[in-house]
Amino acid sequence: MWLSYIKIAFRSLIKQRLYAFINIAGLAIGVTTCVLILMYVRYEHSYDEFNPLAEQIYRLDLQGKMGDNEFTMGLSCAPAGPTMLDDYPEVINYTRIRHTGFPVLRYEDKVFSEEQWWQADSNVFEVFEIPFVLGDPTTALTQPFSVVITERMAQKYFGNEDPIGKIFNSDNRSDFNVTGVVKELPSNSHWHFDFLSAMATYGDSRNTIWVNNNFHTYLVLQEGSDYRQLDEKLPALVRKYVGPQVEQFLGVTMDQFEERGDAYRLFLTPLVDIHLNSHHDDEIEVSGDGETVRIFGYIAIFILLLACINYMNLSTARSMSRAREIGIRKTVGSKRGQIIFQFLAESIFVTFISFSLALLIVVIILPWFSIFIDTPLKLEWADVPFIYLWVIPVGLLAGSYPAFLLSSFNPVKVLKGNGSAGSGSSWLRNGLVIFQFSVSITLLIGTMIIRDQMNYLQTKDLGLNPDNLIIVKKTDDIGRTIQGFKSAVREDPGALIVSNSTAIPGNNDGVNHNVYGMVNEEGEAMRLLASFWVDHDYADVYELSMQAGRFFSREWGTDTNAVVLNEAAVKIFGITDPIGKELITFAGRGGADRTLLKVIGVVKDYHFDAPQQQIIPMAMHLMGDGNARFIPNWGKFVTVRVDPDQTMSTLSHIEVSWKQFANEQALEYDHFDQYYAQLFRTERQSGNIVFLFAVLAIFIAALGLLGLAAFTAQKRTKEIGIRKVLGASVPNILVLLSKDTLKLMFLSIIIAVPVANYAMQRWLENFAYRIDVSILVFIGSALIASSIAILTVAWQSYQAAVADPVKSLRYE
Amino acid sequence: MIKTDGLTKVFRTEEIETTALNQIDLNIKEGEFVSIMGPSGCGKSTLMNVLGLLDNPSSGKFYFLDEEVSGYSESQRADFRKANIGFVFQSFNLIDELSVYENVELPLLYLGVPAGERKTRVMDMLERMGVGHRHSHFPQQLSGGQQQRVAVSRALITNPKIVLADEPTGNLDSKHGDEVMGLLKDLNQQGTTIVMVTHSPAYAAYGNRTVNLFDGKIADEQLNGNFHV
Repeated sequence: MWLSYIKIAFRSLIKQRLYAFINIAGLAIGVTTCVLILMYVRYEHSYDEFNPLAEQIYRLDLQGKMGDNEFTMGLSCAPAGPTMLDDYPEVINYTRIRHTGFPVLRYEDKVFSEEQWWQADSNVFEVFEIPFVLGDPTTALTQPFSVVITERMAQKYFGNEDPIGKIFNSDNRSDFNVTGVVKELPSNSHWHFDFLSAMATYGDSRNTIWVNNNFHTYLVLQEGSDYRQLDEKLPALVRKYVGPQVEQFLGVTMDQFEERGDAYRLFLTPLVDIHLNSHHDDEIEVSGDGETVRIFGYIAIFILLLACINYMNLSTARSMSRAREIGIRKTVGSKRGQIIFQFLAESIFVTFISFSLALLIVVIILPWFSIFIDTPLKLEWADVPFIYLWVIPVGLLAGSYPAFLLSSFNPVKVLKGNGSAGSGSSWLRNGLVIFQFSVSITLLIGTMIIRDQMNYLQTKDLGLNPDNLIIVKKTDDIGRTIQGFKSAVREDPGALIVSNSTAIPGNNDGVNHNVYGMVNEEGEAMRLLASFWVDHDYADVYELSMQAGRFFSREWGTDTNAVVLNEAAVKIFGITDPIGKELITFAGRGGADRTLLKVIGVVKDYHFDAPQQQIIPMAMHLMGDGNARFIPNWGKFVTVRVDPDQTMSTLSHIEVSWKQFANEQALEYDHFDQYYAQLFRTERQSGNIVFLFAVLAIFIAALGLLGLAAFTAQKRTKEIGIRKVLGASVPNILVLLSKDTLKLMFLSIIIAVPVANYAMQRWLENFAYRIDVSILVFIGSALIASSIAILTVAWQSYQAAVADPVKSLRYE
Repeated sequence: MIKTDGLTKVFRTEEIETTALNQIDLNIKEGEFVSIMGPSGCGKSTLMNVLGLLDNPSSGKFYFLDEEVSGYSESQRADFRKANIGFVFQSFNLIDELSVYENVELPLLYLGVPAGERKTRVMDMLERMGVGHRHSHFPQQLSGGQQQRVAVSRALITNPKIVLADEPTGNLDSKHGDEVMGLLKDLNQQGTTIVMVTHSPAYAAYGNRTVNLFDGKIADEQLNGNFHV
């Protein structure tokens, strides 16, 4: 019996090639999309799960509030880890890691500037799964100035030599002894390193200050213990250890601190939640977006559903051609259940073919898709049986309605040639087409709004001029000679302005988050500001505008004791006339607890972070001229505003100047606008995926419509013949056949517009700065979808319209 | 074998009620060859559908092999059909996607006959009907007469108690029509009970008895003088 079912399924597919193609191709595209997107979703959910202790590891994070200023960060203080290990029995281990600048490493004649140099406690290998290739994990990081490197770095510096015992020089200052070689952390890890140096090397790790938060601390909890219970104990920990230091530094008790509405809270974030669900300040790497990933999962299922709908629609539409077969089968003794079984089996057979085709497509396009969405996806052989497992539910879903409908045919009627589902179930077919196009139009609107929002962010007035800026990086490596380098660069006529700073827009590395005070109407207010150090030319090079006062100037020797704020900073302190006011800093120059800085100017707000984020309150300090004590004399970025007509020659000049000061170390630079665009990576990635979804959804829906149009034209052959005999012209017939499609489109638009509007307004809420959605987006999407639909049916309708009526009547 | 008592079939739509069969009392004995005649719309095909358990009557009694079958469910009717009844249609009703062999094999599949036995029985039957050499062909590759032979083979493959033939020669030219009638006659002589609807008095005469229907009622019956039982 099975053989008979498969045989007949196969032969009907061959006989009706167009429908077979539409069914198989549509389903294969749906499955391909679904598989690719689910691979992406799975990848995003797999972060850090490779660690055997993943479920027991939690990061200690910090949330605080000072005045209007709220912050949540993935960092904690140095003493928190060891203290918690002592105080709480459920904490069975901890480790701390910290990114430690961008050293220039030297080994023999090799000199490289490195970005992934980290420090870690010696037990880091007990907490994280970092397989050793050479060396002993238990002793590798116990001694100061020891370093563990990845296989890639071992190859880069030592080639085929044994790296163990080799000595690196870092920044011409310290020598590090290589004690181990490890495998790279996999791409789905929330942090990566090339070098792990021993924490014991750095004095900060033994610091007992609880209000300096510079370490990522990971706690290992006892198996089975509930981290929420430990979370509840943390306020007591804060009172015990942070309280006295708040009193010491801020002059208020913890109770007073809390009474005035300020807060300081430690909390735990599960390791496996960090990538998708933790979006704190100072995350190690760009986080994924859990909400978006979830939505993608749903959309993937929707796309598969669209493809299943094609199958349902075409199968029921084609029921007329299968009606006689069903009549015969019933006459010779088949029961309804057997017919249902036959059609479900047929659907599973078609689904199997589609899945096989889909897998082939997945294998072919996976490398391209990985690049497109900027995520390294891999299809494992073990995935294949799992994917095929879905053939049966998908086949049953797609085949269920046709199976039940076809099996219900009355053999007497169908053998007489009348009575099939051809007309009765047209409402259902139309309903399904409306559903398909509603989803397609919704996605199309989504794509357009995402594109508009991205364009808006990219072209938005950032408060600075991002064009024609070259960023020379790691200029702290030439430290003391920075003034010489700047002068050398300035000699080129194409280098219009040259500025050195510890941080630049779009890069949080050199930014400190410190508490500052200022006296306002209610007394001394404490607020957290992002602060960094700049030279006199910083405002000019970025073309910042002053809202009040002036920027740092060489004409004023006292400016090293001055500060420039942005509008947001003025706002959170709640003052109206900031110029001349004193800003209190606790950073301590020369060991002083409180230092007063004079506010000399306020720059208009400019986007220091990504343009989708709220502008944060900032304080800019003037760096030293090379001889200052207690304040930085140089920063790690030199920004050059170049004449756009001379960019190439200026770049060559910068390179020559760099060589003069940095010797063998390579010049690293970026064009600011390109580098700044990286800040929308996640959003652009989402935009790309939604665009892909929209194209595929429309394609699948159009494929289904093509099949239905062919069916409708065939079904109405006689009607068309009669109409033509009675005088209808070809355009009359075209209008007749297209009218129904237009009606369906109209209903789809009515459904899609409010749904898309609601969904996209919610998406836009993620952005501090967003577009007003234009009605043109809806009109445009509706027009595109309708045009595609009309073009799809046009060919079939035209064929029907120009057919010889005599033939069509004879055919009927 | 078949006995009906006041058999009535009414078709209802929202506006019209049509009585297709009106109080039919009919008795068909085993081994009979009964021809049913009458003008278009007189209820011939409806009667065949009810007798073939493809449709239930609206009222009246219907005994098949002494069993009252008028109230059977669809599933019971399917079971009864495959065990007892063979059908031959005017338009052959072969499945285009199946070969001659597979079309004839179909009822045996539904009966769960083992593969080896199926093969022997199907090939024997096709040989007997003179189409054995076309077993691997598809219906469209055969002449009308050959197609009807295949349809008859399919009707007989389960050794049914009765064969119901609804205008079996309606789509055939006279030569092929005569051939099929000869075939049915032979089958009857070998003991198969046959009920046949026809418009042709000449073919009706192949039967032992002719029942004339008019407006859903039996107008008259006549013996054809060649009754063998």
